[in-house]
Formats: sequence, structure tokens, C-alpha cells
Amino acid sequence: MSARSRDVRRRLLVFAVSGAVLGTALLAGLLDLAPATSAGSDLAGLLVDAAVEQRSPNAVSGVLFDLRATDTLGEALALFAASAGLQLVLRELPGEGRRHEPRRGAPGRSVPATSDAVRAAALALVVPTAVFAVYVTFRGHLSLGGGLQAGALAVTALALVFLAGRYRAQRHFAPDRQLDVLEAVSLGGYVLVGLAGLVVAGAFLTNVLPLGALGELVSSGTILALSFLVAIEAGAAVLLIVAEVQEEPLEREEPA
Amino acid sequence: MSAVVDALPLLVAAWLILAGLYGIVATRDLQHTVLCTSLVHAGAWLLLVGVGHTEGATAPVIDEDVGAGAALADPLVQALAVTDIVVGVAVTALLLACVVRIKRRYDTLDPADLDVLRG
Repeated sequence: MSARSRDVRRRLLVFAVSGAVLGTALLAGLLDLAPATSAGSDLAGLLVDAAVEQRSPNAVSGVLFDLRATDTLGEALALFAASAGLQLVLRELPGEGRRHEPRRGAPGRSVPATSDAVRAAALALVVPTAVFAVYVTFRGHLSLGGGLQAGALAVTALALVFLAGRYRAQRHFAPDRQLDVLEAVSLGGYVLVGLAGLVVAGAFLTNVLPLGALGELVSSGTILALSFLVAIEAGAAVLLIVAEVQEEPLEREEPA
Repeated sequence: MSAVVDALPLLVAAWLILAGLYGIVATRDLQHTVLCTSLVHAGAWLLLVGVGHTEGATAPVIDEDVGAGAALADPLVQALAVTDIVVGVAVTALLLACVVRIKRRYDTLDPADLDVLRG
């Protein structure tokens, strides 16, 4: 063990030197940067104008789903790859211990049951959270919100079901097979919207749907469509990740 | 005062990055390594948002309450930060999966125990 602590001490010695240099450079650079800000710059103004031109009062959504829509496609692909990679890394290999062994607590001690307060509060919050997720999906181009946040909220709603001890109910509402299909279909839909832009306007992911009026629910053309698809994609991908980690059965009584 | 407000997110970001790097160097537990990676990452997107913000700027959302001359935060860095956070979640999940796999295979979380070649 002493060799190990010596090893850590050596590492820290090296880091003390390099970290000091890095920290000094970082602080000097940041303090030099501090008075300057890109808020209110010409570029920021142009981005806001471009977003309003696409009937999207929320400039962040305008950037994410129109000007940088190709990068958002890459981000959706990264989520897709992460959920696929997780299933690949965590798959059962031959010669390994059984994966579905029930979790062992200390001998003579049982896992405490979920308290009624947690159960009631979680179940009471499920429906409002799900409704809020839908709201945020369709408000993303108008005010604060958007597809990625909505996907996270959808995951939260199902995580609350799990928190209330209703593991089977959560799996019932979000079976893996359907999540796989949802993830693939929404990602494919994103690419199809992009191809539609390519065919109609000659550039991938051009906003070709009718724009509508500024501030209307159905407006901003493909920004709303892509936001909706990304909400499904992100929600399904993160739920698949969560489901993969939850594979071990929980040793607790499920209420009938 | 505004100089302090503008510099504070950047200083906190620098602190997060350095603290995370220190953790990666000093730890002997792979779970901590992943956690410290997330810390460096949090510093990165805090830096993005901090650069695009200034005192008195509001969110870049145009509505009745926001006049034409209002100071708006930079939407570009905010969009980058959103992307960054989501990708960070994906990366963290994948790293933790690798940690679970190592624990199952070698029954250890100390990287120093992982120097044995096995066929």
C-alpha cells in the first residue's frame, strides 16, 4: 500500500507543476476576457434577427434547429450511439457471474421499503411532469424550452414512477422494444426533414415548411418539427440508458 | 460591480476545471475519475454561458416584454451549452458503463490493479 501512496504522491507532484502553469494561464486568459462579452454583439443581434425571420422568437431554438440543425443531428446521433454503446458494454458475457443476482444487503438486514410520503409525492408529480414535458416541446420555438429539455422532462416523469416503487409499471409504460423503435423513427424523421430541404431548396435541413405567423403555436416551419423529433429521440435514448442500468431486479415489495 | 459579475462565472469555471483535473490525477477510484470528468465538463459549459452573458442581459427570447433595444444574451453560446450538456450526459453514461464492466470483470475499481495482462 505504501508503494501506492508513493505513486499518488509522485502524480500529485507532477500535477502541482503542470496544474500551476495551467491555472495561471487559464486565469490570466479569463481575466483578460472578462470585460468582453458576446452578449449584444453584432453576431448575437444577427442570430436573433435570423430566428425572428424564421418565426421563432426563441433565438436559442432558432440556432439549434435551423442555423446549427446539422450539429443537432450529430448530437442526436451521439445520444443514439451512447444508448447503443451502453447496451453493448453491459451485455452479459460468457463466464461472468449471473447478472440478475438479487442485490444482497448486509446479513440480517432488509432493504427499507419506500416510504409512503415518497410514494405519494412521486405518483402525484408523474402526470404534471408528463404534461409539462409536452408543453415544453411545443413552446420551444416561442419561449423558453425545446426538444432536449422536453426529452429530459419525459425521462423525469418515468423516473418518478420508478421512485414510487412501481418498477414494473415503468417498464410497462416504456418497454425497451418500443423505445428502440421510437428512437430510430425519430432520428430517421430528422434526416427525412433534412432531405426534404435538400430536395425542395437545394440544401440539407433548409426550413421548407410553411412558416406561419410569429408567436403562433404552429409556426416556424421545420424548427418546431425538428424540436418535436429531438424531444422523442432524447427521451427514448436516455430512457434506454436508464433501463439498461436498472436491469438488476430490486428486492422490494411492489404494491399490488 | 459589473466587472465582478462578468468575471465570476469565468472564475468559477476555471476553478471547476482545475478541481476536476486535480481529482482525476489524485483519485484511486474509477467512479471518482468519471465524476471528476463531469466536473471539468461542467466548467466548460459554465464558461460558454458566462462568455455570452453580461449584467442586465435577458434571455434571447423576443416577446412583448422585451423591447427592441434590450440587451440580450448571446443565443449561440447558449445553444452550444445545451448541446454540450446533452453530449456530456451521454459520455458520462458510457464511461460509467465501462466502470461497471471493469468491476464485473476484475472485481476492482482501483486503476492500479488493472496493470495485469490476461489472456
